[in-house]
Amino acid sequence: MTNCLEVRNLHKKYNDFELKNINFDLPKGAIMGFIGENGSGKTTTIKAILNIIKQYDGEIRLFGLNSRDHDKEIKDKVGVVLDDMFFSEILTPNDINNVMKDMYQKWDNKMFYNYLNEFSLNAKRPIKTFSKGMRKKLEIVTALSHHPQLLILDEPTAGLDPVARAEVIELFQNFIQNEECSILLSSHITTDLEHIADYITFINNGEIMLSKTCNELLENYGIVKCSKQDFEKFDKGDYVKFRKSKYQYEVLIEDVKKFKRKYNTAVIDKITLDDLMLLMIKGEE
Amino acid sequence: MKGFIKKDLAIARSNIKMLAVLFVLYTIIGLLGSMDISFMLPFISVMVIISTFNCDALNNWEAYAATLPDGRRNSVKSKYLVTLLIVFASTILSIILSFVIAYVNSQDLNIGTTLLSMIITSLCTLLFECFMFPLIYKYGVEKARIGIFIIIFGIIVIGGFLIQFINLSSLDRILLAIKDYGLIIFITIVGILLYLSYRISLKFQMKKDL
Repeated sequence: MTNCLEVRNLHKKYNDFELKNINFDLPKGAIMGFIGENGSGKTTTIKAILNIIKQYDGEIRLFGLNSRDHDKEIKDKVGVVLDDMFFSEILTPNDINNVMKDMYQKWDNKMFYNYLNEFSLNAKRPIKTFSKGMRKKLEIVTALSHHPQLLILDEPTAGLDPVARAEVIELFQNFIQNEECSILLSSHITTDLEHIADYITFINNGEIMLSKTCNELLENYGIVKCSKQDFEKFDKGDYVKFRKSKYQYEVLIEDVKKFKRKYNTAVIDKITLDDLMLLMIKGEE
Repeated sequence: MKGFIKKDLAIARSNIKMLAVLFVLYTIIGLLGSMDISFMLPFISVMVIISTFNCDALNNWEAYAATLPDGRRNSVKSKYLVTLLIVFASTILSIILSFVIAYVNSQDLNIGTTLLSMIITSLCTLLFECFMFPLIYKYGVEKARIGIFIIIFGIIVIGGFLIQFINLSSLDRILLAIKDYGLIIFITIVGILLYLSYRISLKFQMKKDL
């Protein structure tokens, strides 16, 4: 399987934060959910991938090309939605179309206006008159309208109501239909990712905690909710992390089948990405 | 590149109302015969250009621009080209305004002097921007404003100090010698400084973490 994006040993140090040895691959035709709490390094990683930050160690390859050496060629094939970074609010979608058709080789006027219609965005109104959700839709429409091969989206569904989120998610699913296009999508709304992501990469405090297929993660990982007495029966090597609450213990299991074989009376619940994040970040070892 | 120019012009368009008011105001002042201040227009154009930087900063445009093909380079290049375009347009407008005012007030207008004063005003505007832009790219609009005041203040203070040690009669001789070529020399100096300013701004922008 060819990779659309490869991140190798990415390292970036700030005074108060550090990205440590980030490694992951995004195969062609796949959607990767990039998850982690606020300030964990998601946006910094995305900025490094896009060369928005330039002073970093390591290597990033997109479409097999080194991102530093082939910046222009790569950018022509990438659609981007970033948190709080876009056109001035005094411009209209018409202005954006007028500008973007000279930015990208494959900018598609027709596609842009079709999407505007689909999302009921008025092409003549300034962006400042749009709601937060409408702005986000416009950003997504702009990212999609030059036939990119990779979408890099930082919180693209933030501010969207459930109906709009469903529309946007459908759009993303259609985008990867030809199996040539891929999406790297960071989001706090992990339920969306459970529906569409093929891979999940979880970053915490500047380090990749795991990068696996979504199925592998949701099938192999599990959560045991039990009493203190039951918890004390578990060997330390049989669980990843645990969390004490007032009435019970929540225990994160990495291999559900293996755990079930050893502790056959234990009740193992299916895990959600929220549970996983919470236990990985807040849990004790 | 064309896209970046269009973007800056679209933002500048939002200042047209303000410029139109100033234009009308200058015309009225000129027609009343109090004085011709149409030479102010190129200076005012600086505000329009700086406002595009403000808009960019407000929307993190530079970071977004860096995600576009050759975005960093083109965003800098377009700022300089749009500046030249706006300064050129405001100079033409000033010249026209001066002629209209002189015609309506039935004044004799020295065409040579008028053109010369407009061109020098425009060159001074560009000179100011030569210093301002690299500061903006390095430190952002707000800090650059303070920086440019410090530079101007510094030039005045140092110039005032150095003038004591300069033999004014030899300076007179030099000025007299270059009298006929003064404008060409000034245009050349501004042209070189503008190019150097562009290269420095580009260097800052290409290296910067946005």
